[in-house]
Amino acid sequence: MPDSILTPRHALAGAPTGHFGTVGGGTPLTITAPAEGTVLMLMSSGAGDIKGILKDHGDFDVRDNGPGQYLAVRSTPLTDAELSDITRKLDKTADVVDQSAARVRLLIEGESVRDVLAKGVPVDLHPDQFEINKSATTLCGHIGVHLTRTGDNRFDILVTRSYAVALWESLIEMGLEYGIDCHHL
Amino acid sequence: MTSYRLKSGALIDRDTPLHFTFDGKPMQGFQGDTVASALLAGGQRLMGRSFKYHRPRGPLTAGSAEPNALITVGQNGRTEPNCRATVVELYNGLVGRSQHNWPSLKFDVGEVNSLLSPFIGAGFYYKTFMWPAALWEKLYEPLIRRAAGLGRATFEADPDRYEKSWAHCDLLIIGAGPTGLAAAITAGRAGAQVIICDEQASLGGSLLSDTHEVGGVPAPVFAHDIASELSSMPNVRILTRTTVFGWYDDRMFGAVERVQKHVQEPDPNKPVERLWRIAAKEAILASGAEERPLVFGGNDRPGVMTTDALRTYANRYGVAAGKRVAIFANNSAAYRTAHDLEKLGVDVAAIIDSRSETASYNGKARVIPNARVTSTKGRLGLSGITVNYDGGEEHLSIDALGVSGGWNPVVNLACQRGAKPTWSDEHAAFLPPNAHNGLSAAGAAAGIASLAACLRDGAHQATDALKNININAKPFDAGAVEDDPDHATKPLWYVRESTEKSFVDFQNDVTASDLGLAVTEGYGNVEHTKRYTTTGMATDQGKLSNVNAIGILAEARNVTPAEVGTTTYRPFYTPVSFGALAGAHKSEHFQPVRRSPLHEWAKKLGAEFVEVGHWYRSSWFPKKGETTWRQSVDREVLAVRNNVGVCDVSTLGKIEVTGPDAATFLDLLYCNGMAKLPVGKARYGLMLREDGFVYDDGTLSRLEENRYFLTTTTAHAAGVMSHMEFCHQTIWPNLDVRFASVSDQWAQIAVAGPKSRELLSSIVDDDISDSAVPFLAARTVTLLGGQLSARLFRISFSGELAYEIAIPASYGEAVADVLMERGEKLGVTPYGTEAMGVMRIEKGHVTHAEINGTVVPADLGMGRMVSNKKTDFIGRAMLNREGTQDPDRVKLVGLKPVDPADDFSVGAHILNKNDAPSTPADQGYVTSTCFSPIIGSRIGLALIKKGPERIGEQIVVWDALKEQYTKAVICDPVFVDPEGEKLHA
Repeated sequence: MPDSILTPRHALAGAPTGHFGTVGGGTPLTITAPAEGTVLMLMSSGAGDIKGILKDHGDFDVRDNGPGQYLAVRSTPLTDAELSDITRKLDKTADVVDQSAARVRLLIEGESVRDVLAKGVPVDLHPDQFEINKSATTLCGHIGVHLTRTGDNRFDILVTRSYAVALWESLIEMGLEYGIDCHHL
Repeated sequence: MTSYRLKSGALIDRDTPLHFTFDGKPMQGFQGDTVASALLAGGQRLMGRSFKYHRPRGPLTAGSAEPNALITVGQNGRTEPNCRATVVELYNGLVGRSQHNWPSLKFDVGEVNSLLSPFIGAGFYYKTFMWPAALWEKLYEPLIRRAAGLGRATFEADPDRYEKSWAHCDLLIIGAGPTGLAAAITAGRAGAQVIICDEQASLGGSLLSDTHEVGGVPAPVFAHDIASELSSMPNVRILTRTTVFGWYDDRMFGAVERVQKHVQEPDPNKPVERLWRIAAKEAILASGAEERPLVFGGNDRPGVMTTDALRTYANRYGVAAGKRVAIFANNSAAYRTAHDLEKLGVDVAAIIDSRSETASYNGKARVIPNARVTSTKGRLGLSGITVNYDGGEEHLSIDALGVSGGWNPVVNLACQRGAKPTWSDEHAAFLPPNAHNGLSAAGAAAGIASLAACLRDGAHQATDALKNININAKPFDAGAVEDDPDHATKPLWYVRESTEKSFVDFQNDVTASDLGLAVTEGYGNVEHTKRYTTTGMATDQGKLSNVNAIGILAEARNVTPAEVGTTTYRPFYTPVSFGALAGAHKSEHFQPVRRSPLHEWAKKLGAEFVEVGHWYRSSWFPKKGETTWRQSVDREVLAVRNNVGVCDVSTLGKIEVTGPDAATFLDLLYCNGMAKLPVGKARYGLMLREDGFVYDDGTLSRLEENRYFLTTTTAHAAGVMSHMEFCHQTIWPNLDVRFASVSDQWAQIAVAGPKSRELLSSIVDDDISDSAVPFLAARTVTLLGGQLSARLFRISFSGELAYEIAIPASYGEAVADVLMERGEKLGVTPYGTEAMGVMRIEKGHVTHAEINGTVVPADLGMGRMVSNKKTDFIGRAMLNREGTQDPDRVKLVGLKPVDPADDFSVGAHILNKNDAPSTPADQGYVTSTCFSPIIGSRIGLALIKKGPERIGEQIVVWDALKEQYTKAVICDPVFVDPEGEKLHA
């Protein structure tokens, strides 16, 4: 039997892309959904330097996800062998659960990003209250999201895969006032 | 004589004329006008008809408390009834219509109600429509409902967008009059995060109608300068056209911003209204004070309005409400209006002061002390008044009358959380409650009358509020402020000498005599009076009438207004549209759609979807030529039973449980034993609630020594996760265990049917023979030459030889495609939730149709699953209650119609053969039913008293809705493969 090649499907394949809403009037907001990378849920099981242990595995960004929980996020995908290796190294520190296919990452950026996110997110995103690298598990409209500030006017949103298209469509709606460019890779 | 536009001055832009229509008549106004000011400028004083008596009405105010000038604005889907003409900003092309009249505003047949007034006083319908009782529902109520209401809502869809937004600040300032502006500039200059809201289009509030000088410039210029400075501050957010309508938990405030209600063609990229949820650390209520009308005969004719309205129309909009004006007041502040009008060239005939000690007045108008207006004249507008004073009575020909009964601080927001306002004899008004809770009333809202004092109070209240959150601020100093020296007032609740109708509540046509009647008839408690007379109801919620009503009640009951007290203040301060409350959550965005990783796979195979919570699940896959869903479902069932089918079960809840105490925890969570589940095996599990009733079911697989994979039903995925967290955090925090929802990580595909092993073997690299993967095995396998790792479970919901394979969600569609491709020669068929439902009923498997919150395991035939060895598990203690052991309980059985052509429905009740339907005769009910293509007839599952002991008994299935009686036989709930041979093949 000829081999079948398994190709992953992006959660947002088929979702609308392009420019939506107001044209002109400054730099539009952009939302980008990168290709699937790695998202690991780490649940503390003991003392240990999670970041230090992960440093040999690429550019992981370790984000708070509630008491004793973290999401380790990076752009490159994970192999089974690497997952086993990380799980073993973190054995005394944290239990590892792969969420790479479960969480879709959306990068949202632009001068109006705070005003746009405020249409759905109840957290105060003023930089004095929500500085760069701070994360929150919160809502965007009716959809649960994990939000991290990655720059002055840049945020990372992790949304569960099944809600990704619904959130994408909501973000477009929220950004119409300012104009919004949407791409997924 | 009528109202007209003054030749110069005011804050309107006379270079920008705006054209609009009112009842089809072309009219003109200027940029900066409201509809009411433009109508008055055009001589149109008559703007509406009253609710009950259809009396001609014009604007009583120039603001948001307006009870009379309610009009319908817009056309088609943008039609909005009950708009207050006094706050609707004029725009080019505006279409306004009067409402609640027929055939026209000038000649309204409904006016006949005035003649019937002796028969339709307060509470008339409680007395009149009592007999015969049967007519109430069929005749009286429909008639009253038809007669009631003001404007009519449109049935056309609203074409505009609405949205909601969150905002956060150190200090929220509600109201941008002198107090609010002083507070905002104080806080803004201190660097605090400030939000200032005002319902008007420009900041300034009463300053925009004022002629005093503040800081050496006219009040409107002062307001403009402060607004400019505020708008230059990045830490200050100015929300104009925004009404803060409610104060909710903690320091959460609700506000509605009318983003594009003032434009002819809204920008489709912007909302027309935005609902704000504002989280403030501190808040200042600078909502000002509302001028009370006076209650006297004929006080509702168009042309009678508050002195504040007269002054605002003149100073701000350049409109004189009449050519010859009088003022009727019980206070000194109203004199200012006479002064301003005279300065603008309007003839002020008299100041009629109800007090014996009047204020000093330097203008031309004659001041009449100890005087009262007893009646008015004019059919569609005021033409004269009768004044009664010591020593005589006099008729004055005038076309506008300013009335002032004192000032009510706008305390609504401060009282919405239960605190009551307090009566002050000194102010002759209710003042805001003392409770702080993060909201401080300031300025006129706190009973302060002088402009200079309001400015000072705003600044100081801001300083104090910021001090509470450790921000130091320096109070703003406005400099020299011109002011009225005298603000004395003496209550005058109503004019006793009047014999004509004296209106207290203009919107509901409640008169002083209605209130007297309420007291006489025992409804003197203020909450009773409100309901008996309707005073304080409707769109204005008694903003102008409530305090007068309380004063009249107090006199009638011979108590003080403090003893009468107020009714309850609730959101919303002014009406809020449903559009704003719904925001963007309408149509396809009403609730988020949750898509399975196999959604697109199912879609391309033509699936019909069904909404299950947020999920869209594939329910069947119609083929060409199939005209009913049953044809598709029967085909899918037979394909699975005979060959192999593929079904998306990704929506099941999936939870990974880790930690050294995972086994102990799970053993406590389920009622059946889980501690000894070996690695590589799955087990069906039943969770109970604390009360012993079944909560959820699913499978538990042990993947590693300390790693489990648990499935829940789709419906309870989140609930089970919360339940586990609750149990861990509150009952067994000592256990070293952790949970992660992996529902979205895995696409899960059921592969079922006698050829399922053969199909799976074509993609799984590992040996999956019965010996390698026996029933209830749980393994990690690789697919298609090691391209992907997957989890393989040999479990079955259909009763067939079956597996569920879990793959990372992003590969779900690819794996399903390969299964379809490689299964073609095996007759593989995609099947949906309907076929799955048929097969589980045929196999006697339960879902939440049976696990309906009223059953214990024994009711479902699972009594023996419950561990009697475990010392504890959730539900154990309560499971042994007497009621749950009752032998008469309903228990799970199967049902078949005696005649295979017969039918019965879910929810139908079971009766003994010869019993008539009654509660005592009830034997149970049908929980699930379907047509079984295997049995060839309808089959069902039912919960029947002592069911398993009655196998073979003939009963009647009674469907009250269809009035259908079906003879049926109680049978074993397992219709297909009762020995489980297929399962273990």
